[in-house]
Amino acid sequence: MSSAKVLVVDDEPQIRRVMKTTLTGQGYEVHEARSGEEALDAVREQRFDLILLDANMPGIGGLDACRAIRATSEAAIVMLTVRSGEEDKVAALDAGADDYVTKPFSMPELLARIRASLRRIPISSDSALIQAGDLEINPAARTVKVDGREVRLTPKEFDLLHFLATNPNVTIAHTRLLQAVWGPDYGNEVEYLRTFINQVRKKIENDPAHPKHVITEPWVGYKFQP
Amino acid sequence: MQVVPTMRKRSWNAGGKLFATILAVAGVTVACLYAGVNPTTTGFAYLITVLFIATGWGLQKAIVASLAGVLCYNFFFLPPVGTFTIVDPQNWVALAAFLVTAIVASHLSASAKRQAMDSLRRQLELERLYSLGRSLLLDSGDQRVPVRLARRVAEAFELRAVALYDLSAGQTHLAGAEDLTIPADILNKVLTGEMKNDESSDCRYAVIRLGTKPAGVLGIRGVVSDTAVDAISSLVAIGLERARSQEIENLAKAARQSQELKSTLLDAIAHEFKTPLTSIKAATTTVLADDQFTGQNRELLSIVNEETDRLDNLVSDAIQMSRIEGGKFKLHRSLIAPNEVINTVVAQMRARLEDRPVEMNVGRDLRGVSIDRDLIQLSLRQLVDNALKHAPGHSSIGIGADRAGTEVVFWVSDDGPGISAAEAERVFERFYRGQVNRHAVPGSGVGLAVVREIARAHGGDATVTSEPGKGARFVIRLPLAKEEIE
Repeated sequence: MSSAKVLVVDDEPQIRRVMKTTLTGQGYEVHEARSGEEALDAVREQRFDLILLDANMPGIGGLDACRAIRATSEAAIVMLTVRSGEEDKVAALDAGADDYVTKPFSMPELLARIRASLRRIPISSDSALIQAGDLEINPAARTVKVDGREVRLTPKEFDLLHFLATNPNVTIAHTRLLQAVWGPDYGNEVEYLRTFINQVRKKIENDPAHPKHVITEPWVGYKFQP
Repeated sequence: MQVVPTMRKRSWNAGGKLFATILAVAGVTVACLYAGVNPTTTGFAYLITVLFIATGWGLQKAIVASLAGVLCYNFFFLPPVGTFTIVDPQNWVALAAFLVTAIVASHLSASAKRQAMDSLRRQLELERLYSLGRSLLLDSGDQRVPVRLARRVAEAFELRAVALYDLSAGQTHLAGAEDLTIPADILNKVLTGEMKNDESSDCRYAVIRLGTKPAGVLGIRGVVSDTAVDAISSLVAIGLERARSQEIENLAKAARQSQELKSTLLDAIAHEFKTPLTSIKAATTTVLADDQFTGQNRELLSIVNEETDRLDNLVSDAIQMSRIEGGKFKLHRSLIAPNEVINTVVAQMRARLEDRPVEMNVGRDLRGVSIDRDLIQLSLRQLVDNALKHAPGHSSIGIGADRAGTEVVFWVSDDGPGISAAEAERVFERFYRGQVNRHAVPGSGVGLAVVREIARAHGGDATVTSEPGKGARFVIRLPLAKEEIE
């Protein structure tokens, strides 16, 4: 039983009701918001571990709310939406969501996604500071510095970068990377990697279009170059 | 050509003019007698009068005037005065010269006048044709165009009556002060070219042609030349043609708009369905995840869960189909193994297929193809659904994929009643339902149209081969990309 703090954002009361019942039953501490605006207020007041965010809401929609939350919070965000098109998924991930679930979903599936999003790669306390050129990764403090200036990565972005950096100069296949960072249920979600790698590059690379550290190996995977 | 001076006001009738002519001759006679001028001067005075009359009232009156003049000249001025006899042969010559001069001059003057009138009339007709053409081209165009056409023709040419028979609508539009109904037998005669003028009802007719095809008949009662009638009928043809193409365009636009509205509406409704489905699904699966439900309860909950999935698929398909019907969809191609597509479809349809035998048949050397997975699966689900509806209870259903030349083909076959050759193309039309069992089988007639639309969006096509009584085989052919062919 975990005790992570979860914010459920949906304009439909019945959906909030069923989520609250189930998630509370799973031991999560559940808070509710009825709109994107309410969610932003809640995030300003307290820290959440995970936000379940409905994509279609009146007022500011799910995508805008996601961007706004991501600007100030490192909470894991799982988007819930009725659309399942490829471009909708990419839009959600681009907006800063960690994962994406299509309505209607089965509860075990959603719980698995929640666990995967909350999941952090366990980092032993003695893991060393990684120094790679202008880049400094501190696993104990979960911080990253570029040229001595600290950059903010979401937990998933940090895990992704850290996992790559602990295996320098080795090409890591998509499936392995997904399973390491998101968990054993994952493996086919290549678009997740594409979006998250892009986010990481924007934050740590001087020229994200011509990356020096995180290199794409077409059709295979990604590689970290110190 | 019928010549009618249309410019002059008809304030004088023919009798009045005749009287005035006689009066003019009498006046000249009295004036000359009174003034006591010599016979030569008198002769010239008569001649001038005749010329004036010829110019003003035409040849007929001029001849009357010349004859009257000759008589008066003879009686009052040529010796012996007071009789119609002429003694001096010289005076015979003078009288004859007068008569010939009067008549020839009258004739010349009258024909000059006629030509002037003619060209004036033509100019007027041209002006009227021009203004008619202009008003037709500026017409905004709707269903009431033929009515306005008839009215404009009547107004522009000041006609007593205009009848415009629209062949395609079978309607006659009337305009003008008088009533002009074209009897059916005359209409046929006009259309076959047997009749142009109808003397009994004082009417002229012209066939309105679009290209070479007759589009209607124009009937006119009033003063207008034949050339003008031809020109008017051409203008009316252009006006009708314009109205018709505008109407077709409007209809297409309306159809497009209603299609879009329908799609948007269906999309919105479908999304509304998704919300309660989400609650049901979440609640059911939560309870099912709990091991304390066993036996009968678990079975019943499983049914709720499966039916929720089915309802969700139906709603999703409805959203997809409404988008495809509305024409607003994009392909999201990705590299997919055809056997994976087939397996997914069969798994999705498992509950509907029950224990029906399903023969899956995927070509062994078939590699991944670049297709829109969701849409092709939707198509195959539609085809399987179609087969389930039409084939009898426990007959088998075939589903498969293979390579055929430069194409990959997916097919679904059944042992149903089959489709006649005549219907093989029509079943793909939107809203078409099979002749034999359109009332026995539920459906909207949209599914196969969507299947074809999806195939065509991929650059391929959907077809059916069938022998009545021996089942049907629906085939989706999709062209392979160049690099997939080698």
